[in-house]
Amino acid sequence: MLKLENISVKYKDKVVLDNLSLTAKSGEIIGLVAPNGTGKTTLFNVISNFLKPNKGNVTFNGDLQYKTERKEISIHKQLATFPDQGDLFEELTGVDHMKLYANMWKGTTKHVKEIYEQLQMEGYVKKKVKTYSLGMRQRLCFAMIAAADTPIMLMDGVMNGLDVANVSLISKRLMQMKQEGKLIFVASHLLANLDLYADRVIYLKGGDIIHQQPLNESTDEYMKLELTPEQYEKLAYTLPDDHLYIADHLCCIPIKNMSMDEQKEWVVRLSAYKGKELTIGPLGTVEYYEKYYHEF
Amino acid sequence: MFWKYTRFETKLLLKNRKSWFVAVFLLFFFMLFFMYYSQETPVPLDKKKAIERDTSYAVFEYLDLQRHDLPEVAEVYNYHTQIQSLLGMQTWFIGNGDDSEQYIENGLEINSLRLEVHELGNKGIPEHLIVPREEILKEDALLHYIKDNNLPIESDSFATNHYISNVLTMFSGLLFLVIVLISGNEMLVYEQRHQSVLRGFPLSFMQKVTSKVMIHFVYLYTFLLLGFTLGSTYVAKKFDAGEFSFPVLIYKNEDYIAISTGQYLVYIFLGLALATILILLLSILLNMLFRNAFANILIGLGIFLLPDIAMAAGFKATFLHPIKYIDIFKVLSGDLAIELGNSSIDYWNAMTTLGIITVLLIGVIYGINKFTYHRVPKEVPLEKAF
Repeated sequence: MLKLENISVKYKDKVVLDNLSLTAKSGEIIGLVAPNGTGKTTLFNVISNFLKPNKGNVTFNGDLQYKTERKEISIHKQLATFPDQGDLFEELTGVDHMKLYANMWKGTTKHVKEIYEQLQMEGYVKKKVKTYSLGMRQRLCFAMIAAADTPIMLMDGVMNGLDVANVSLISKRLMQMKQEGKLIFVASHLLANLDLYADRVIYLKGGDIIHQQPLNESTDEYMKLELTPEQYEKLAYTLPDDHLYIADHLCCIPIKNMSMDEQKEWVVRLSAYKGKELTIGPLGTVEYYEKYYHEF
Repeated sequence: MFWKYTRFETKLLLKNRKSWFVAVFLLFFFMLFFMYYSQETPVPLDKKKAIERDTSYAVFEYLDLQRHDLPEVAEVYNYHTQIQSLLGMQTWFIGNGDDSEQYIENGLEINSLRLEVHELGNKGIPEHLIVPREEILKEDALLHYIKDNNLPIESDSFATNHYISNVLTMFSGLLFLVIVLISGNEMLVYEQRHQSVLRGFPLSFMQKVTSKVMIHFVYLYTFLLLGFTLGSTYVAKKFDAGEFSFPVLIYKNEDYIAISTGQYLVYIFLGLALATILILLLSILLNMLFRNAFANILIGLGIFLLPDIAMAAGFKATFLHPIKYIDIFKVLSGDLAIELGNSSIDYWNAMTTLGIITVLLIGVIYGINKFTYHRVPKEVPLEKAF
């Protein structure tokens, strides 16, 4: 559905994206993870043609590219981007905003009421945006893109400023959208939350994708234990070669090639570290994030 | 999508306080102007004629000095004697004599004699007492119109034209330009404050531009017409000055013709409509180029004043003259043709030129937008502004 080929975005003194390539298909939620200023928003701007890269192509459905305005409009009929809550019109109501998006993409506003009811916005959606809190504005932005209901959605910072209940509400809605066959990109700093609905998570560093983590496929499992650097140094020589020590605190021992007896032996050995929680499972988004961005 | 987008833009316009300020101004400007102007009652026709007669009489003092020595001056003297006599008769016929037909006949003869005097080079008449050729032609056209349409000449029958021409002198030109520039100064630029909400709509740039220009034009023109109607109603009731069949002079093909006030107003408002569209398109272009609402007004004003600046600097820049055609009142009255020394500037030429400029502006806007899709980023990536 979407293909990015050798995308490069370079300013005079800075490389933001460097030969980045990516493909994505419908019915997928792709998480995009990276620290601030690494190029997540730039990538979204390139996908939606708000920024023309120095090099590279963005192709939709095998043949549509941003070569002319007519083709851009054809692409934009299928693509909506998450608006920033600071850009909302203060004097208009939430419903006005939702109807704008519904009208521009769907051509009808019949579904708007259902959306704001699902998102529990009835109490304020008919009031002017200037009366809204940050969380309410953020929810409105999500409601707007839901009203657009396009096959492809780019959501940059969708969970920003939301409390636990709202994060859960929107996560559920995202999963529903995935069932409807949408391709959704979610750039988020709520790493554990991404694990709930994303099909894969992409990690950006140095302008390129350094790792793609598939979440629904079976992945290698590890024994994970928090260890101080001193504790790790004492243990290091006994650990298998392919172990990981992430961000100076998390020791991860792969159990893929271990027999049951070896696994039991390691459980006993590691349980000697009192007060620490030993978990067994695949590496999550948090762990990968720490691995790629906190190690020096 | 276009009409839904237009509806949204209309909603934004209605929520904008600046729009309401401009609307209120347009609504009440004419009426307030008429109220102010009503403190000065127009000089009635009989008094005007009396002043003209007395002024004309002063010419004899200069002619007397030379007529015995110069035969040309003597000839001018003879003509002027007839003119003076006819002026006296006109003053009688407009006053107690009450004979419109004879007033007109006398007037036509006076004009004919004055043109003869012009043929003789106005010998012996000082500069400040010469009746300009344009004034004679104007008077002639006016009288012919009144005669052909069988209109009565009464002292206050010119009141309508008087009030209308005064308000349009004030409004048409710089004030009108400023109002439209202020109204349209943020047409594209405001989108930068709501970029992530408004970007990415599946709508072409030219459709957006058409929508914005259309909405602004409709709202400006509606309030302009309403305001003028309100003002005219006030003037008609207060001064009994609702006579729209009375003639107004317009400049055409290096001559003056008289048309009814009603027809004149149609020309004026058609001209203002075209000028409004042109200025709104110019605002769009300036927004695209400078991305600054304040620059829009400043540069728009600067462009309008360019011909004046060029003239003051001594440059005869004829190619800048079309900028002044926005002042449709001056074009119609012929004042612009005289001011710029270009006798070809009449309403029809001005409207054609303004139409061509409008089409050119649309072409430039379209071209700039199209060019953004063909530009190749070199050292830096290219960001889409609108």
